[in-house]
Amino acid sequence: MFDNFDLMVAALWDGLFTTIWVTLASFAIALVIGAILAVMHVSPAPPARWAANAYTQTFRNVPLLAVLFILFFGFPKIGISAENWVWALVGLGTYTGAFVGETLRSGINSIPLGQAEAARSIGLTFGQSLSSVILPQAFRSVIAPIGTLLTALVKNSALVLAIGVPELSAQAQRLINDNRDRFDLWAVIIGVLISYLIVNLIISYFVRLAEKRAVFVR
Amino acid sequence: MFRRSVIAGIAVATMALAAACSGEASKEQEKEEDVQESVGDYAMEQAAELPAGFIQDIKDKGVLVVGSKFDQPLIGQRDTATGKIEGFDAEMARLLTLRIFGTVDEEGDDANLKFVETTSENRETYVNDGTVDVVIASYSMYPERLPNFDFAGPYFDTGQNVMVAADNTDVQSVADLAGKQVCIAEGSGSIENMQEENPDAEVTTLADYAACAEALANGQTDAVSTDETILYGFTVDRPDAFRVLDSSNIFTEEPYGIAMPLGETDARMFINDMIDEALANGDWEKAFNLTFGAAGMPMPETLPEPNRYEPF
Repeated sequence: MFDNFDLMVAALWDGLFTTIWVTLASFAIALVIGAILAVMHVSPAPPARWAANAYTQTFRNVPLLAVLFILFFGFPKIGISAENWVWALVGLGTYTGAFVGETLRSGINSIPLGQAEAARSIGLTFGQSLSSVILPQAFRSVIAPIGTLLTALVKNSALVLAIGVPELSAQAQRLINDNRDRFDLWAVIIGVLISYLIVNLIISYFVRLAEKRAVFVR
Repeated sequence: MFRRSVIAGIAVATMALAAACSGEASKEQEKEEDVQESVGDYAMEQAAELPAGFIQDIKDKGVLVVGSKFDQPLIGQRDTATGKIEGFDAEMARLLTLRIFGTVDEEGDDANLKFVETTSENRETYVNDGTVDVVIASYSMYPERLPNFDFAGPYFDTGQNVMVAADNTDVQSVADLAGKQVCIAEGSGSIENMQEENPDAEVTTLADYAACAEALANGQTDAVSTDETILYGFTVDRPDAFRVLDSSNIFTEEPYGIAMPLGETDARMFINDMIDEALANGDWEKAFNLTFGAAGMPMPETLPEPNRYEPF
């Protein structure tokens, strides 16, 4: 069970590190895309709403793996090439962005319409009313669902092994198929399981902390 | 007017599709006939005497169950149209069936040869729990595996080689890969082999070798490296796109063996005799020409020699 345990831990740690930075970087992209989408969703201009809707429907209804393959194998065919990890971040970010956008929109919709009307009636522009009245409240009410998206993203990030980013699951496959059969199958599986569990438990802890901080009385 | 042209367009498209399908079907038929002939062609005869135990039990139950790859061109690939398994491993299974039963029948309930799909992950389990009698699935008989199973063979010797784009003239040897991107399937043991053989090569990984071949065709990687037998599987479909380096570049040893449960020494020697017989009577060469040879792999200079090691 504990054959070459130190080698196994080192390899899994390498993978875990990749998983974490891929997750955080693509989550940052997803938050930006999601915020833009949410603003477009509630925008007074119909074309902006249509565009946001088209984007959301596309990415919500296509498997992530298909998105990654289209990016990685499709774009080079039309002359756009990039490193594997770039496509991984773009794929995970654009895909998760659609979900973040929907979540933020539901947050915005939870703010009574009267507040927006009040903001506009005291002379704030659409942008000002969003940034100083609506969004600060909307963000607080969606902390928990956004945290759920982050934990889902940690797990989804395992798919980028298919386009050559050696994250945690990829490292596990290498250990299991080791040429010299040095590693115990179950030790590797349990090691991977524990790694994902630790990451997601830490995320849950911080999400709960943030939620508590953000509590306000309506 | 618009509607009429749409209908005409659909009709033309349908006809083109039908034509394409029938062309495909006749090609499949030809392939099937090839395999049928090949089974009839072998000189292998039923063994005069079967060893008691493992082999006699197979004869008694009337069917040899072989664990094989179903997705590896030239080694073991299931033809979706006919359901037949094609490839060198499948031909070895047919020769073994001839040796035990004297005939090969893969159709219907009375079939005496049955294939079960095995992968690298489940083949050990399948041998041990009796799901299959033997595994013939490009299984390398490494010394450290010998204490776990009985291995007959090797029936084929190969090793890791390199495939590049057909128009690539820079890379003629493994040493030329320094600074070049080499794609290898994620999790494959070939990663470590490449890192040891040429540490200056930049190893990249993708989900599987089909993805690596696609990346090579796209120009996203400079080379693909794994067992030569697998590489030649990609040149079958795209002979103009890829080039496998000369076999003198092979830098690992992959002796493919036939695995059965540990302790079946008599059965192992019986199968070793079968391999020797096939090598002597020309059946091995026929199987090679039907599979690897047809894909352009040159006939190996030295033929495999079964390793009759002492039982552990």
